[in-house]
Amino acid sequence: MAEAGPPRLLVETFETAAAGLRRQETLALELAAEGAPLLLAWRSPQALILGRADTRLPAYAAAAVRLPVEGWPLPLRRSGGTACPVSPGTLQLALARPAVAGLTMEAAYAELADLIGRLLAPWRLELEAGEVPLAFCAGRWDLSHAGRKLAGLSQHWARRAGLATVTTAASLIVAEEPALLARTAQRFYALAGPPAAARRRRSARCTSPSGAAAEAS
Amino acid sequence: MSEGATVAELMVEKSSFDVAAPAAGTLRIAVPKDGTVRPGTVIGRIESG
Repeated sequence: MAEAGPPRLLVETFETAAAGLRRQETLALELAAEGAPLLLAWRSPQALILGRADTRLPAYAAAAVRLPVEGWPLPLRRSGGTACPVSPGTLQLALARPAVAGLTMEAAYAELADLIGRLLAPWRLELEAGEVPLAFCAGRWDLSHAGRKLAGLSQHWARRAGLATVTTAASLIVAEEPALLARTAQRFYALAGPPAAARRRRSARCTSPSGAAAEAS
Repeated sequence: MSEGATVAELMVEKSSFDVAAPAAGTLRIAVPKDGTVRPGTVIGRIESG
């Protein structure tokens, strides 16, 4: 697998999470000209970012009316996964790179996980990769400390401007109440159904780096 | 449908993949939308002309 070099860092703030997601999608378009991976760190006002499967839930239409009224717009992301709440106290990361021959899903996930590990080094946490089943938007590439999720990773592979690309994204709780985020995801599934999905996501198994460090000390 | 157009999206866990048409033609979709398929399943055919 060819080395793609270190990513160029972009830090941006958006007026909506939907705008942040659109910007995330444009990273892949810029790779051909850029010649190096791009790492976008972005924040936005609060929103509940959905995966495509969420829009097929039985009462999605009702939830799509109700949640925005309650202050949680429902933008849709291109990568996989389920509902992920974001707010000005969460940081979204997106690492776009050419999908060179031999690059695997696991290697692309590991690349962003390694970057997050270095970002969180000052907190001296013991990061583990693996699903935190009761966290919102649980997946095999959750990063956790002592069973509490700090970040969840997802991916979108696409050909853009003639180049095969992969964008791996993550959401990290920085200065936000994890229980608020968990309640919001739970509220969506309670409205959109099915009931089993809402029950599965009842517990708040997420935390921030400072929260995890405080618990560890 | 033109060559290179995105004709399907596959999702594996939290990874999604845009599938581009390898040739121009008429797409015949072979599986139900939003369904689950096993590796190796033909999900569609492109007929030329």
